[in-house]
Amino acid sequence: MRRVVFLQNVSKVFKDGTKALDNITLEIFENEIVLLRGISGSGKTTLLSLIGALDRATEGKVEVDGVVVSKLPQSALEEFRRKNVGIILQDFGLIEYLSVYENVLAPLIPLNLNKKEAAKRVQEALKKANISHKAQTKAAHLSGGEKQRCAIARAVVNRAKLILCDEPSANLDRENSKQFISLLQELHTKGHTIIVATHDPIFEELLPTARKIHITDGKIA
Amino acid sequence: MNNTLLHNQNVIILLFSSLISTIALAIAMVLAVDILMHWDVQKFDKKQYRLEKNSWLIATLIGFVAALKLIALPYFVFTIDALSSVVPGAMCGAGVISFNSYGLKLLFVKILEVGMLLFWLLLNRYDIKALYRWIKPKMWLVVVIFLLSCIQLWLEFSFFANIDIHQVTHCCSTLYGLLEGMNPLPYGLDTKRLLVLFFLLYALLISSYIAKEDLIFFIAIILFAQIAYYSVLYFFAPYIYEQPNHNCPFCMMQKEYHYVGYIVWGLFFMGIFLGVFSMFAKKVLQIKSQPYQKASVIVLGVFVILLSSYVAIYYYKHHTFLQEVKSGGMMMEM
Repeated sequence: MRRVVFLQNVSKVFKDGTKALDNITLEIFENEIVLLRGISGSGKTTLLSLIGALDRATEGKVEVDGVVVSKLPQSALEEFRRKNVGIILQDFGLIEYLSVYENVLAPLIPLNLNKKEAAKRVQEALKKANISHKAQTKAAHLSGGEKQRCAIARAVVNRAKLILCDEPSANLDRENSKQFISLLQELHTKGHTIIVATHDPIFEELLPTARKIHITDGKIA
Repeated sequence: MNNTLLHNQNVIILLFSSLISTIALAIAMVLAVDILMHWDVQKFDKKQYRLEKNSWLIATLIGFVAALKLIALPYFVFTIDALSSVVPGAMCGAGVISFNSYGLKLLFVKILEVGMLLFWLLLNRYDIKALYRWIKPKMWLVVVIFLLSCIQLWLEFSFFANIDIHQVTHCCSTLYGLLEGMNPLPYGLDTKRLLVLFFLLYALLISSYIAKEDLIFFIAIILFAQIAYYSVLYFFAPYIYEQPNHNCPFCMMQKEYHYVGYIVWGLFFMGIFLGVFSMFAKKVLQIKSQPYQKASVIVLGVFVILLSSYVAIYYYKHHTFLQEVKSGGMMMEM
């Protein structure tokens, strides 16, 4: 099976001296669902940030999809992220005054696609996330569950195979969390590799086959 | 040493900007030396990551200095032109810059430095794409640019500190004018042949670009640089000034001539730079030279059209050309 994520002896120390990650070595393969488990402050989000090319390691190698992202210069890092990674955040990160369609379209703007191709991709992503019927609704008027589905559509619109979710159920009730997990499973069946950082037990409950990685004090337990 | 001009506002700005640039480049140089000594791209340790971050800091510093120098170069020309009103005998920047032996060296170093900074930024662009393949030459270049900046700062200070406003200098007609019997053109050319060569070389640039003949393009751009310089001075400048014996490269940067000299020389240097870089791109960076050749041909095309338009406008207004009298190298209305 193809290796999608490879971390070798990765450490992350913040400017204030906080050691968020300590000598992590990890491999994640294609079409896996991985649950990063651990209490708040254990280093889950930092780990996701490094995999998602949002931050840089202080030490060690971070390789995603065969590219050593820890060596990429800033401009190349942004381009890599735009094309290869989809990210879902706990607060959804939507632009409230834009419609669902516009929110999903936003990540495609820097890719300079023609209008037809961009529209095709947005429709495809909205369909995948089951939110097509709300395409013209402003993000501010969506429920929590709908916002999360919009965030999923936005994460997959660049056709990224790697989806990173950071505490995706933090602002969802149990019913919406279930729907969200079912959408993740659908994405999984379509070949996406999914990494979820969460301390919500519902994920373990509903995704019993997912690989679990426990992180404590920046180390894999 | 004469301190009078060191109190001039424009001179202070120029010296201050050169000082800032040199300080920024000194920081870049220290970081570059650290990279030269310890760089190992295969490593993933703290030290290597710090060096990689420092290489981006160097790029930021070089970008800042390049922007500053790109503004400072025309500002320097503007300043020496403005100083012609206080330096006796000078009618434009030519008289001021020729006041002492530092002036022309300073101008040359300034142009060279801007060229090297732009070259560095282009090299950096490809180095990033090639994941630090050119990091060592790039860092050596930082050291060279820093040394050049020190020389430039010293020359600039020496130049302005050694202008005595009580001493008479030469005017541009003495410096660039044509004396009877003297031919300042290269290879024994006369103005007519110079002009033919000017257009032929530009045509050769276009055709070698289309035919993808890199070596011919490179030879043509080097020759064009020389021939175009003399063509501007000894053929086109009189049309810009509408005076048959006015061959100054500086006067055209005055308000009277709508500051067109900045555009003329800006296009000239940019076109030549891009053309020369195209060869480097092909032979050293092993990337396509065509985009740079295309940019060079376009920029120099605008240069050629702009200069030619002065001849056309002159003819439209006066129904005659300015024509060289071969025996004396003088120009007169035909």
